[in-house]
Amino acid sequence: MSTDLTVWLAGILTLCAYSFLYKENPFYRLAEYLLVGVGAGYALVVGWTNILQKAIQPLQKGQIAVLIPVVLGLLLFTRFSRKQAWLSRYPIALMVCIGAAVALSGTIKEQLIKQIGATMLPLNSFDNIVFVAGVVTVLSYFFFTFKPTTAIQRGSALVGRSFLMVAFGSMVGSVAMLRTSLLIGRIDFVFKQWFHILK
Amino acid sequence: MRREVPVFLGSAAGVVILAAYFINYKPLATLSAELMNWGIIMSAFALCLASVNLVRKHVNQIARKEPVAPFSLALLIVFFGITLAGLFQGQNSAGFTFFYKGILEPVSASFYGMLGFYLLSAAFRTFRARSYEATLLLLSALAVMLGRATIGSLIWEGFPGLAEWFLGTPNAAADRGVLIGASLGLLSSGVRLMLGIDRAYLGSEE
Amino acid sequence: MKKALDIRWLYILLFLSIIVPMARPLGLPLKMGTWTKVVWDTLDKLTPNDVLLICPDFNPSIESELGPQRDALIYHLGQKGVKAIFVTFVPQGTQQTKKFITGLEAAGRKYGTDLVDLGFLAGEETALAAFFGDMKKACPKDARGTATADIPLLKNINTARDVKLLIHFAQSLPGTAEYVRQLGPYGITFVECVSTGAMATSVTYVQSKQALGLIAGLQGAAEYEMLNKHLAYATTAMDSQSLAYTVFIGAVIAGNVIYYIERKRARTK
Repeated sequence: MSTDLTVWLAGILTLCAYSFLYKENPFYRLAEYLLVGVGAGYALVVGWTNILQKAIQPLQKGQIAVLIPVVLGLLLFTRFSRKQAWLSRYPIALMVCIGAAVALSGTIKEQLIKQIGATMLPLNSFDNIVFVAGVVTVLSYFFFTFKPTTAIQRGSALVGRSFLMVAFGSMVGSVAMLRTSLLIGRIDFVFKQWFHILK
Repeated sequence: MRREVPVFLGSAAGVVILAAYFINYKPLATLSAELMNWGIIMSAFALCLASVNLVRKHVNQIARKEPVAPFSLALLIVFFGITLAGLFQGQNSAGFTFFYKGILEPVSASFYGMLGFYLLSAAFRTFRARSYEATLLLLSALAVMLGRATIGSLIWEGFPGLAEWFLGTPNAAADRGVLIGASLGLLSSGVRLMLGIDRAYLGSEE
Repeated sequence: MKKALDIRWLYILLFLSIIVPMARPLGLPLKMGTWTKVVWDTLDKLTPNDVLLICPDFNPSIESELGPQRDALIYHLGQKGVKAIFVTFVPQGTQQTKKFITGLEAAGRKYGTDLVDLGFLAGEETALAAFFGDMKKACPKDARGTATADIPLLKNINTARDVKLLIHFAQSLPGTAEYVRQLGPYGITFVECVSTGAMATSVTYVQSKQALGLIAGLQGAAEYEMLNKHLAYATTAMDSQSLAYTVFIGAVIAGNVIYYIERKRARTK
């Protein structure tokens, strides 16, 4: 067995977490709360490091302009006061709109034009025909401006739905595989790194 | 005015960033970069706000002597432990690493891995080929899993290739259709945000 | 029949399917996938003067899948002797960067001239855009407190355009879509390391050639280890993974068979 205290703590908390498989119990609850506490503390440390490097230290060097985002950031904490909570709208509005603009700027070219361009494949192979048909029919399925009345419209939506089911099936299979891999990692830790039963 | 001014400022900032992306004009690019820098600083404050809010909530739970108070106390102990270790001794210190390796790493990995059992339970109880669409979904999931499992190639050597085809052709096609649709939706919701039509993020009317 | 089966027997079966191959490896063959091969071939062509940007944006919840990919890349990049800049946009990614740097320093790389840790940047996609546009402005200091203007490796590196290749480990936000959006203007090659769960949605970017290639999940890590000719954890886990998937597949098939039998019985009654 390992003699490292960290490994022992990790192993015990792993078993506490998995005890939920039997039923909910205080050990599982403890593991849950400890995770939340450590996660929040970790976020505070890295967040503060960012503030220090990007705001406090430049301010100390005389970069007064940094005072504006610092004040805006501090205004976020007015959310704790019912009377002053309206002040937090300034930083929230700025963060949301800056984030939206950043996302929008790349969307048109990278996620629309280039993706549509990559769909313009020559229809000279089975794979290309399936691919183009898939994209077109899936897009036709999401076209809700008018109800599909003709056989072609309904057929296209049905084919699009079929492609979507294939995609969802791939996703379901992928997620099941992911969780299994994570479980393997935990079992490997318990039996190899903690108990040293397996090599 | 308590809603209009923040919306106006946000929209203005967003328009500057969008304009800088499409117009090659140095002062605009400099202003855009500065605004993004502000976004980073404000996001760092938001991270700290989330942690402070959590502490506030659990201190209240302890003060009100709620049934979960002992767990809240444990939460606060580890919270302050890792925070003080990280802030005063650094992120490479033994104390910080102890909390990370002893609690954060194993418990988060355990919670994620635990879903494997529940997925297995769902696979047995609810994954039914009840309709044409459900059958397609199941067949696709099985094909991908058999292709990725090394045992699949023992059953039929074509399974790995079939799984890669499923993922690379029909799945990628459907994902692209969804992605294009989602991008159009993102464009419209982004424009609504920039024009101040969508103000849900500001909260209640007070 | 379905109701008589306690689901915990299935849990035990899943557990056994994982632990038995760990104790007695089955040696099941692993077939190479095309996506991993493309990534390996690209990284194998790198020279010691090439500067990479590596963004380990994942937290320990997914360590079992992306950790082996990280270790396989450390081995390969350590052999190639390339230079690397690390930055992460998720808080817990800083620990992944430390593991990378420890591994590459053990392979003979020196911090400052070959490796730099720029720490964590808050803001997700906003931080991405700011960083790719002006790295030194976004990160005035590295994770060790040194001014980035004074770090030898960053002397000629200002924007994303100045690096040879970007390797991104994706878990949640910022993910492949965000990187694709923000990397577009810079035209640099970009490799995705994703979990098996994200594989299905990331493939579309490989098809459109916006991402060069993909290392997907634990199997991707095992394929990479095979190409490295340095087998490690991922390869040893393949047998367990294979049997566990078989249990899943068996559960789906068994559940459907039982469902159809019970439906037939109900109709006959």
